[in-house]
Amino acid sequence: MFKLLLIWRYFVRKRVALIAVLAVTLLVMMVLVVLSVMSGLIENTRSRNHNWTGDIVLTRHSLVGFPYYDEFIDRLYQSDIIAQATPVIKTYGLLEADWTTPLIGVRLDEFMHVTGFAECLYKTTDENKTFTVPDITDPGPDTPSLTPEQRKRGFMRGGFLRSSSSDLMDSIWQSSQLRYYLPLPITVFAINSRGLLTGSQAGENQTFWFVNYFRTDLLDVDDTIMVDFDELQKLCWMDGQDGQPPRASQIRIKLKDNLDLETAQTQIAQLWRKFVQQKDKQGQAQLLTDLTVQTWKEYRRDYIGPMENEKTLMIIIFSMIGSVAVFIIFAIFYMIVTEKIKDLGIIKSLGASKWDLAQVFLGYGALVGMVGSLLGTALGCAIVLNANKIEGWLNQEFGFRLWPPDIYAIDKIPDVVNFSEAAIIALVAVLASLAGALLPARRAAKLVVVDALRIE
Amino acid sequence: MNQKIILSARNIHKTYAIGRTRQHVLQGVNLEVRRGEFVAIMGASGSGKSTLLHILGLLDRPDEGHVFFEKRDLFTLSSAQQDHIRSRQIGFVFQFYHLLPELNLEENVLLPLMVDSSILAWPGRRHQARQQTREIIDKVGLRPQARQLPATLSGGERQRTALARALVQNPKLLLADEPTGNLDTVAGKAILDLLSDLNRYGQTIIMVTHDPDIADRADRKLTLRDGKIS
Repeated sequence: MFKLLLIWRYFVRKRVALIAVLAVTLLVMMVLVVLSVMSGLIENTRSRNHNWTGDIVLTRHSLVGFPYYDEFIDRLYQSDIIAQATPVIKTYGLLEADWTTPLIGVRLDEFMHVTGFAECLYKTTDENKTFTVPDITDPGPDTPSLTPEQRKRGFMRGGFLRSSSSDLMDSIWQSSQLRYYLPLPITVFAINSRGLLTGSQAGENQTFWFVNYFRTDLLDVDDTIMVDFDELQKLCWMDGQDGQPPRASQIRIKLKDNLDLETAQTQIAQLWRKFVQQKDKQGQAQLLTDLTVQTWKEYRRDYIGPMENEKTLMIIIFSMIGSVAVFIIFAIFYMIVTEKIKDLGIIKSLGASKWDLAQVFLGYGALVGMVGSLLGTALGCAIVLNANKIEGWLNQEFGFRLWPPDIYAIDKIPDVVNFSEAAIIALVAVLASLAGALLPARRAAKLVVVDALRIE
Repeated sequence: MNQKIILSARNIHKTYAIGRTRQHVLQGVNLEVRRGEFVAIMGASGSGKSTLLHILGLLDRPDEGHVFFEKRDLFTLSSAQQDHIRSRQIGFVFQFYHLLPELNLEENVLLPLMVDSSILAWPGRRHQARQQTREIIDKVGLRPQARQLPATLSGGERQRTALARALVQNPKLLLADEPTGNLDTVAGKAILDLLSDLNRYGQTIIMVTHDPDIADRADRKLTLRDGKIS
């Protein structure tokens, strides 16, 4: 019982211990803020990538693509694993003499069911969720008149201006002077199933018309032009006009609810292998053998991985910084033990054991850790939950933005605290404090009573 | 006085290193103390009086020899058994009081009872412990100062507090190392009066002093000279 009394008295009367508490508080606060923001950014990144990809992707990493995609999609529907599947074409186009851009062809309606693409559109009315070029409400003298064939060739442009206000974007939208409102001629070089150039040797040209913007906040995706699957397939000579089965580059899949992602991946991969075996004797079967079946996490690994690695690196760096706090506590406690060595001798002379003396300092260390963790957690939570207000204030007072939205593709700083992470950080801080108190506690336990009592 | 021997020391040797030399302070000390006796050990400064008292009180270990307390060889016991004896059976009063500065007078006196009690047992024991503490504080005449910190007490009050702390567990043996050495005449006399009163009621006391007048208070005087008792 005397241990609790002494721990408390030393804590409230030894001002130097406040330094140790402050060290723990600042460390916990720092770690909590940084890891919360990083976790929020990672979650944001994962969510955006998942939203763009769907759950599972079958891909042939080649501009040639692969055949029999619709047949396999039918097999998928029969398997009862999937909610929706859709083919996708990925290729490259020439917009001007020296400007290439990735092109992607989708069946928009299906694509919006497989992915969260509908949320990425700038204009989200039903008439804007289509590649059909809408009627112009106020045509000018230069406004072209489109045939029904031409009206099927709408395109969507990725990455609308982030730093613009919605008023500005609306006025751009309405403006007949807007460049992307004009026709956009696109040239592709068609490749046959053997990987050779086909069609016109000068490239296949087609004009598309602006219908909408989209923004996924994924840098590689927002640099894309999106058109109708059938139109792009025809342009690339992948539609079977050369007598070969039609081809696609990918199949994107949305699974049914509550299915385990990795288990579904394995099942789909098995289905594909079986399908490939059955198609073994058919034309272009060689194009089926090198597809990958990936979860969205694997497919977008190159974009998610670096952020997760950064978080891991942050944890390692903060562990090193945390060791500084351990040393601070060690130094302070060693000093206190030295100062209190006579008191410890007195207590031992009254019958306290070595373990009793060690417990006083271990308990003291734990108390410093607990108080520091509580304060640090409270401060850290307050900062995270008000991160955007703080950044707003910094911007207002000093013209300073920590994360400019047009560079970092975020509307706001993540301001959610993961309380299980916070609890782990607090627990680690308490353990670190205990570690700092360990050697001083050992010194206290090993003291010789008469030597301690001789100290003046 | 009960004639039964409560403490005996046999052939106690103790050597200290002082710089590069070694000083053989105790060179075969033999001693017996009976229950209820008041024994004074005298000797010149540096003769090893305090060293002997520390060994008898389990605060130090002899290089050679045995100390028997109620027929138990103290230095063959385990650490836990020694801690138990120091806590309950032996009370020690130091020359420089050795009170804990962060605890008030009452808490300092209560300390041996807290040391002797686990955290779980304390709630059940607390009331009786506080009662015991208040009784002993009353006995030494310090009730009004119970809430004061040691820094605000006089030398005599601090030594009386230390005495109360040594007695709170009703020890069988009280060891006092120059209990008046740091006090003025009046305060010192008050302490000696208390010790005499305690002995009158059967408390066994071994007191170390260099002052023959103080030693006269004891039933028996022993002199430590050249490392031996004479």
